[in-house]
Amino acid sequence: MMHRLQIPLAFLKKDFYNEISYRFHFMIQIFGIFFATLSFYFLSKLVDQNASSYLEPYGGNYLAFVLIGLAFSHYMLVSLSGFSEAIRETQMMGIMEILLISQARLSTIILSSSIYKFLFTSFRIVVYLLMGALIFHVDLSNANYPGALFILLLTIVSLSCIGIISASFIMVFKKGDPIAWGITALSWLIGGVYYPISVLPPWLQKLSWLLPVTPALEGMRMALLRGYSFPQLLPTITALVVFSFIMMPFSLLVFRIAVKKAKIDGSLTQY
Amino acid sequence: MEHAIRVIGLTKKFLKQKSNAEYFLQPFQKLYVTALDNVSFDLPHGELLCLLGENGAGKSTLIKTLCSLIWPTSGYAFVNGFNVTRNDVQHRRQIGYVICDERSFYWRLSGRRNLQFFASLYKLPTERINRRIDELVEWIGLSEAIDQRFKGYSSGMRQKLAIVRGLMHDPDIIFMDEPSKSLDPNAAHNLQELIKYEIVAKHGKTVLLATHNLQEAEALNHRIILLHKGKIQAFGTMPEILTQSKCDSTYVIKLTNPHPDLPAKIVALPGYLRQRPETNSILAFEFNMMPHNASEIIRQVVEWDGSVVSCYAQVPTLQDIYRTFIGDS
Ligand SMILES: Nc1ncnc2c1ncn2[C@@H]1O[C@H](COP(=O)(O)OP(=O)(O)O)[C@@H](O)[C@H]1O
Ligand SMILES: [Mg+2]
Repeated sequence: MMHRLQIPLAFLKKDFYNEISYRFHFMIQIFGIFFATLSFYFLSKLVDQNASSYLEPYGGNYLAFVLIGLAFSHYMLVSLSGFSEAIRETQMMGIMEILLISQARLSTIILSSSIYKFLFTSFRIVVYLLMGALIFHVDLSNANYPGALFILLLTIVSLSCIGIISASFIMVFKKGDPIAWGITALSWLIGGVYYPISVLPPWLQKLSWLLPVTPALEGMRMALLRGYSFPQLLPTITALVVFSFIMMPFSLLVFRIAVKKAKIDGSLTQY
Repeated sequence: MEHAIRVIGLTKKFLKQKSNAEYFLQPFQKLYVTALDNVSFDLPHGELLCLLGENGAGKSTLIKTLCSLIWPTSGYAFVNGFNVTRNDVQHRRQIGYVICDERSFYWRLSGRRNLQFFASLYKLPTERINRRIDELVEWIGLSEAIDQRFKGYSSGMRQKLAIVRGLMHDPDIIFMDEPSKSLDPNAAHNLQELIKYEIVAKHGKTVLLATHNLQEAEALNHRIILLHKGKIQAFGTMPEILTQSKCDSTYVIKLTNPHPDLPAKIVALPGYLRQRPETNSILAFEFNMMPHNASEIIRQVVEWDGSVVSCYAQVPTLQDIYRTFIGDS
């Protein structure tokens, strides 16, 4: 077991030391988490009184609503852009070749490249939710935690597939990451991160359900805020499972092809 | 057992980046650069082979192809019996690669942390990694700097770190792409000794080393492949290549303030090659070594009242050898 995890752990350690070498930046990141929570708390005081009808389906508390949206969107960002950022950085530093002649498999390399980012995001999310619950009394008492966690994991896997395909793009074309960029931008706008999609005009609402994040986010909020049970979450879970099962092998295949293309072009270290 | 490296008719053509003019004139035509042109050779286990060629000769392309980092256009290459296009994970344990590019480290981490990370990719146990770092770093003379951040390293230190990295997992076949490029002459000499006596002679490793430095190829004193524009021009030991090139060492004799008649007499001597450009009052003449030896020339010149400043043997440069193989192109 230790043996299997050695390479991912090495990536994690390397990224951690790299990150804390920017001491000031690291501290700012930590403070940023507290400030974000605080500002949304004040925002929620304004929103709660005026938006109750929109927030009703989610338990009526804006802070609870938005913290989950925020947490979710952080994972979304890492899943969609983390891989391509890591690949681009590795190419720019001239390290790609060194990774590729090592004994690490291609899938291990790409998956390990974002572990640190996922862990740091998780830390951030736990702090958001703890602060929400302990200081601002966001009510998560009847939440279905396993259900929410399960949806979250599936969402990360699904979005990572898209992220890996976009990293393949970077591998070959060095620039431009249209897929992840488009999905991210649309998700912020109509995916229901900051506000319920019910505030959108009906045609945009319909459009938003085509994004992978909308149903996933909805499912997570229902699990955390309304305590939806597994059977109630089943449609969301099924959709995500099907998507992941098809897309994960496909995205790794696309990455493999991208690496081969880069080897043909001799462009592993170009950027 | 099979050869450590076996290359058969290897050719690599890169798609050329078009200039703007080419882009407009031939918008649909693909232009290619031939980096390797039908290269074939064998290297037995435990041998050292020098890949000698000027910039752009195709040295790095050949090494990267053998490391499965570049996909050949045609032909075959086998390293340790494995086809390089198969790129088997287990087989990579046997291969070490000292990259030419000094960037290839994490700048904000110390040398030690960098090495720990890269060695972990070979799934070595932690204690073994640490022991090996101490051993190799001591050996190459980087002990003081190893816990400093990489970004503060000089290019020589970076190069040393790259060499250590390539040796961390104790591979059998080691590819070194211009490993002494940024080393000072002393460090370069030490490295050559290390490669020759420790790595190859003592530990029996196979080394393929690329260099554009003729002196280095000579110092390593093993077999050489002379590569030019992707083609093998000559293959053999340095004396063999010199013989093939018919490009012998010459004598250079330098005189000061000679009598005005003297140059004409010297030019008429047998074996005279050319007059070399020199400073103000010094004249320099170059002779073939063949018809006579240096003392004969000196005796003759002294007899004519020439005052000889110096006389030395001039070893042909890579350019000289190139010139004999490929003309002055
Ligand atoms: N990725 C690439 N794309 C296009 N041309 C390349 C690429 N890599 C190398 N070349 C060309 O191939 C030739 C050989 O390059 P290289 O193997 O780097 O030479 P060396 O290492 O001997 O200096 C050069 O003409 C170089 O411009
Ligand atoms: Mg080179």
